[in-house]
Amino acid sequence: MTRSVIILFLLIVLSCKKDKWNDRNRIDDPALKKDLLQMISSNPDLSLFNTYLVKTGYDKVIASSKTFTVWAPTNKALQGIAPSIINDTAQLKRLIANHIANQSYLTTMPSPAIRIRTLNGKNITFTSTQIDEEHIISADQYTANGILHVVDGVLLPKMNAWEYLNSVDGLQQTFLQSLKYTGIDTTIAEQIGVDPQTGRPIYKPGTGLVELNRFLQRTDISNEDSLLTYVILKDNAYTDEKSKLVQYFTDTTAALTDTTTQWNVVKDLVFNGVYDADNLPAVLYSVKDSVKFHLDRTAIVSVQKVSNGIVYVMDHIDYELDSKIKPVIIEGERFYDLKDRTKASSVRTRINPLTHLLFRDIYIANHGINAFWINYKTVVNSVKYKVYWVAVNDFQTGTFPMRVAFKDPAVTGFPYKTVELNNYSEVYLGDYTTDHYGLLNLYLVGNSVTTNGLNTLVLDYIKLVPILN
Amino acid sequence: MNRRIKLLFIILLFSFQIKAQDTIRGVIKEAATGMPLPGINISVTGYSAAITNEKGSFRIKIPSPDAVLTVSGQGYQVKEIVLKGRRNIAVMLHEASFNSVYDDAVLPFGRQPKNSIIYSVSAVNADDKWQRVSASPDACLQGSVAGLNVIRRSGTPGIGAELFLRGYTSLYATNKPLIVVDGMIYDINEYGGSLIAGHVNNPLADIEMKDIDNFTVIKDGTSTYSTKGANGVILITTSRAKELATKIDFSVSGGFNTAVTKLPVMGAGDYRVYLSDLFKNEKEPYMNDNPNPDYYRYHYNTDWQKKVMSNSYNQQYYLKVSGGDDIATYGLSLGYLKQGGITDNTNLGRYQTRFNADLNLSSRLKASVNLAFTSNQQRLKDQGIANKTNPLYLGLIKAPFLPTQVVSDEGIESPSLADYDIFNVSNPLALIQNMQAVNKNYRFSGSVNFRYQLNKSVSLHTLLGITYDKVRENFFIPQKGIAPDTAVNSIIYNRSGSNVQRYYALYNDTRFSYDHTFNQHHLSANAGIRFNNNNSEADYGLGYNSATDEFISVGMGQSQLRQVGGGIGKWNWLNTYINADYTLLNRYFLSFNMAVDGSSRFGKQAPGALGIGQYKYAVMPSVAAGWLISSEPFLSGPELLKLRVSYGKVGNDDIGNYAARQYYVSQNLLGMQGLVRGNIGNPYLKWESVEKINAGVDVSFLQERLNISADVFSNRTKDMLIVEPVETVTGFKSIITNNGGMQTHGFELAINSRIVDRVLKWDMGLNLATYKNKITKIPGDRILTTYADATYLTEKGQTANLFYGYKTSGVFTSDAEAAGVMYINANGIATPFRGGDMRFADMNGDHVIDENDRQVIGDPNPSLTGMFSNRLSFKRWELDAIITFISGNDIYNYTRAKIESMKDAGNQSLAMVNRWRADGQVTDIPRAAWGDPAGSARFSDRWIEDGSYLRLRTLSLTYSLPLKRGAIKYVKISAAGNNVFTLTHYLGYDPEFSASGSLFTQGIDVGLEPQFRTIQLGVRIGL
Repeated sequence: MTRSVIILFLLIVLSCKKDKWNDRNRIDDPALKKDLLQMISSNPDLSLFNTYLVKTGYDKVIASSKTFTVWAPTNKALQGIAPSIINDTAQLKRLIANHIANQSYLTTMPSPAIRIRTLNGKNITFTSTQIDEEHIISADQYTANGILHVVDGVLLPKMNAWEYLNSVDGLQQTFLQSLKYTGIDTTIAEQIGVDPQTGRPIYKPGTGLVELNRFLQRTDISNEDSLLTYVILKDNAYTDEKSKLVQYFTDTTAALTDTTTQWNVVKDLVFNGVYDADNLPAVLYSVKDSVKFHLDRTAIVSVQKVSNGIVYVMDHIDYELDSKIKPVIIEGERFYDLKDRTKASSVRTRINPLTHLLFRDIYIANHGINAFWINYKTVVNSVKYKVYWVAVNDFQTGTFPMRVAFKDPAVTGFPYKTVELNNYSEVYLGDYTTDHYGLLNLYLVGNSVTTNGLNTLVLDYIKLVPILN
Repeated sequence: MNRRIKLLFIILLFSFQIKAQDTIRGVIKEAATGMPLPGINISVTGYSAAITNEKGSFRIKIPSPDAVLTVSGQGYQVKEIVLKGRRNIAVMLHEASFNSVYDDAVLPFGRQPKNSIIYSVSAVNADDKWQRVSASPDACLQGSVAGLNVIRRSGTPGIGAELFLRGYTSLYATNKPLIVVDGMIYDINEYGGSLIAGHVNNPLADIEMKDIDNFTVIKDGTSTYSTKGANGVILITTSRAKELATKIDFSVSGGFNTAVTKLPVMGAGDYRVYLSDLFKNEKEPYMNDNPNPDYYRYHYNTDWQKKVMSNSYNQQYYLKVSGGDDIATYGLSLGYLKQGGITDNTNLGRYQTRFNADLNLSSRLKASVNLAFTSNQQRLKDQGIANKTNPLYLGLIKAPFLPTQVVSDEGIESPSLADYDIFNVSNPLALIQNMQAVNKNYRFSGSVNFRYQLNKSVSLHTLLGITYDKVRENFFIPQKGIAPDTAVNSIIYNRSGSNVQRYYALYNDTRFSYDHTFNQHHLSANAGIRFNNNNSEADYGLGYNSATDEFISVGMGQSQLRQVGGGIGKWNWLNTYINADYTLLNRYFLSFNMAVDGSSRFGKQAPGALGIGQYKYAVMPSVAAGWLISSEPFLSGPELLKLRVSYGKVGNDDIGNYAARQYYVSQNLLGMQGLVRGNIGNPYLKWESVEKINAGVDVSFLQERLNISADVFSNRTKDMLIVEPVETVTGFKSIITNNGGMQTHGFELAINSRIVDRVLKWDMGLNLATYKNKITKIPGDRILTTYADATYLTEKGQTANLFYGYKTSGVFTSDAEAAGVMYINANGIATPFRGGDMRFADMNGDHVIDENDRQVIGDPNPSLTGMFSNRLSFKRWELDAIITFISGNDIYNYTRAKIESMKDAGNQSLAMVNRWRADGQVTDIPRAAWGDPAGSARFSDRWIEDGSYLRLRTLSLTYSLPLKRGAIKYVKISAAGNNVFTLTHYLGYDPEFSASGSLFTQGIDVGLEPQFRTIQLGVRIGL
């Protein structure tokens, strides 16, 4: 009797231990008891994929305590893959990684599509029924550490626009490759000290060296996250373009001329967004410089879908030249130098009564210097320009003259011109032909008297408009 | 003449029912063995006496056939025998420690045998609790008294308990019973509050349990305490010398506290998957499994709960000496105690001494002295809602993949502790090791009591006492390892604080007592005055951002951030009372009490009150009647049968020292200090009054082997204090008024029985209590209060403080299923629910879940509280087991709501692995969502749990060593357990806690230190 009471008592004590939490913690859902790897290996239709996971080491990844989404191709789909890929570990790794992404992605999420970066760095496009071009045949299977979709095809990793460019030989590829240089990435370079004079870090020589490309630094067509349309010119088109543009980029040496011309051919061949060849808009604006293109469907030689957009190989392009060789506007207040830097200059903000817009100009008066000048520098093309200015004399009753001089303030190719009272319009001053592409010195020269009020300088802007044939 | 004498004689005979001088005989035996008992005293009070011979038989003269014999003897109980005409009686006596209906109970005006008390009174003998694990007296009372719901505040040593006697009578004023120690009011309030989060300073802990002789809990008939008696009175009597011989009691004990069972939270693996679900970002350093400099720092699997809680130890030494001579007796006790806490680096140290003396100054003048001094030093940590600095809470939410120490890129651990982490969560170990929080306090209470016997019936008593209490707290939370906090105009890196609380009280109780027995009538009456003068002061300073963690005092903090404040309280209470108890024929009882109270707190224009001069007085009468039916000749069955009924009025003066007046408070405006109005004074403010009706029956059968007491009661509170909202235009939020009312009625049952009464003695006790509370009057008919994200509804016609929130029914399995139901997002825009969000009940059917869809989801009030005790003694062995239980109360598990919210980077409970992940998944756990936009974790029935529990509260086994007669009288060796086991469905650490004495915090588990199990061994030696 006593013994049974004791046993009963012990049973009560033991049975009350935290089983309430055990009930609560128990995982009843079989799907939550398995991680992605266990889920894949329990599906006989995914056995080949499972084998490749093990072979590439991704089995450990998708069994780890992070969240993944796996688009697993069926055995049938994987059987169609070339043995050369299967047997090349590096390629197989890239291929398998292209089916795995970090985080959970459910088919309810895309509206209509989302691009997902896979573990090999490539992006794939996920819609409610498809992943890239393949169909999802079994969707949204949750597991302890992510989501499994079964697809009926293999997601082959695509090249991006830069990789594709480099896979096709040609003048364009050759030139862009020539823009490579070795630079330093300070984030990976090893710092060995600090320059006591400048306070700048000193890096250990030979560390942090990376291969850079000036074109990619400007327009990164290798960026997997961008979505772009890229044009590769066939060699004949490339040569055409070069010969068309060379007159505007004539430099002091032939080599410089050639490089500059080529750069100006290739820099404007990138467009944001993916445009289907059959639905090309009438006007496309290039990235950065907004050159107005009219791409012709018939000029497209081949189309290539790439991981970050689409690439057209074309044998002809058409664009508006005046959007490429652009007018130059030199703002008065953004000068480079003064004849006498001790003299005061003021920047005024005024309203143009014609346009009701604000503008700023430079105003230098009462300096008492004969032929005072303001120096500007600007890059120009090798072309003939029409020269205009806007100079508003709204501060005195008398007028005064000014003139424009190129290269040297003493050059008197452009004569003095009176600045009329309250004239807000552009005033044509004459034509000027530059002798080569590049930096041009330009001067605004005041009256050659020392009398205050007669040697005033004022300028909103000078405009150089190229005369294109 | 002769005839006239004869006639007078007959009349006398008739009126006093004296027939003739008579003698009866009887035999007295021991109840357990049936052995006749020699040397037992038998007496008829004031008439005759006798003693039993070796066969246990006696003869005694009696004045009348229904006289009352009093039987007593060394080592045996006292017993009263109503003869009812019997001429030959047999009496069975139990041992002295037997819980008898003839025991005396201490009442405000003296001792009285329980069988003649007509109030609902429970007497608890504390002398037999030495072997128990030391606890403060309030915690010790747990379960002892039917209707006294004792809720221990937390597991912190000495923190005590909330006492709710018969539910509650007030919403905003105190619900604590009045504590009276040796005739003097013992103030148990806190002045100013603790600076250490979750801590409560408990003056009751200053009374050592071993110093206490007995408790008397008076549930009704406390009208002489008038406006302090609304919640009943607990009289504590400390032990005095019982005999002249010098007696030395020494005890030493040591205990072991076991860490509580950990809550199951996620390990590093599950946690990282959760984070990945929550942040949808794999670029964080802890997600990188490839070799990298941060690898080691984010690839631990730390059990943080284990880092903050562990086993600890207790020790206690106690010495009591008593003795004296005919002139003076004394009792002196000294004690030292050191108790470890459940949180690492917390403990309580206490020195305590008490001196009680009784002096016979002359045959008429007697004096007694009570002096007590206790000093405590307690090392603490933040508890409760202090989410950046509560180590227990941080132990739950801290990311398990993080290390405790600083770790180098190569994975080498440094001895220094890691700083707060990437999620802005403090290192719990930094708090354990480097947070300083010390509470030092002491209390002196002393009183002298003179009793002058004017004549045989009239005596004059006066008691004069003082209480002085001082609490000093210092804390410092360093910068290193602790997440910074954002204040109104600064970022807080390190914090310091100091406070001092002083309390001083002067108390006087002077009364005339009259006590007279003439023939069959007994009258005792008292008339007196009590005066209580109180002064309290609390001052605190808080400092922030001292230059380094080495500068830990408030003065080192930045001066523009420093906060200094405090409060002063002065109040007086004057109470005049009369009391009269009348007994006829030892069986008809009548009692009348009345008090007239004045207090500095009462408003000068209090309506409906007695006005004397410009002041208002509270008049509190009460009457009670009792009938001891078992003394009637016609009833012969039960040992005792007593009916009693009482009606009384008592009050509650806890209305704020200055709420009836208008006052000013200091205000800082851009560095300028000035005074602004602090309140809207309410000159009509008065005390709360409570009408108490009680009816009870006490029955005892089978030679007292089965005793039952049952009571029904009804308490009606009128003029209940309400913090009433006022129009914004007044510049104030509220005014304190008397516009509320509530009632509580309930039932109590106490059963004591001796199941086996042989060599093995088995006593079993059971008490049960239940009450139902109802709000009868409240402005606007409802009050909503909030605490710890919970909302309480207090509504007319319903029980006070009900949990008011949303009802849930599972999780939407898909977006399609959730379609059509909206919630209002943070920007006020109606947004549809999604798959994985909780499904809330749409009460008004408008398809928008908002605050109009809230309903009552739980009730923190218990439907049943009680205790079940067993005491077995066999030869030298004694086993004592007390099981307490509570049922029908709901708990809002705030802590679980935090670790299952799935809205931030805090670690989650393991159950959250079952969270919703994808369409079609059927689960009752919603999805993880940063910031919880759909409010899945809002205050709902998800967090309401059944708080019922049944706990083996104390278990003790004592063995008395067999000793030869000598210097040592006894040696008792005991093993005891505290909180031995708890049966509950509650998911938190422990279902018993109380965040504060306010009703509007009851039943919320804010993460205080849990109750823990203690196993103790002790020795008690008597010389």
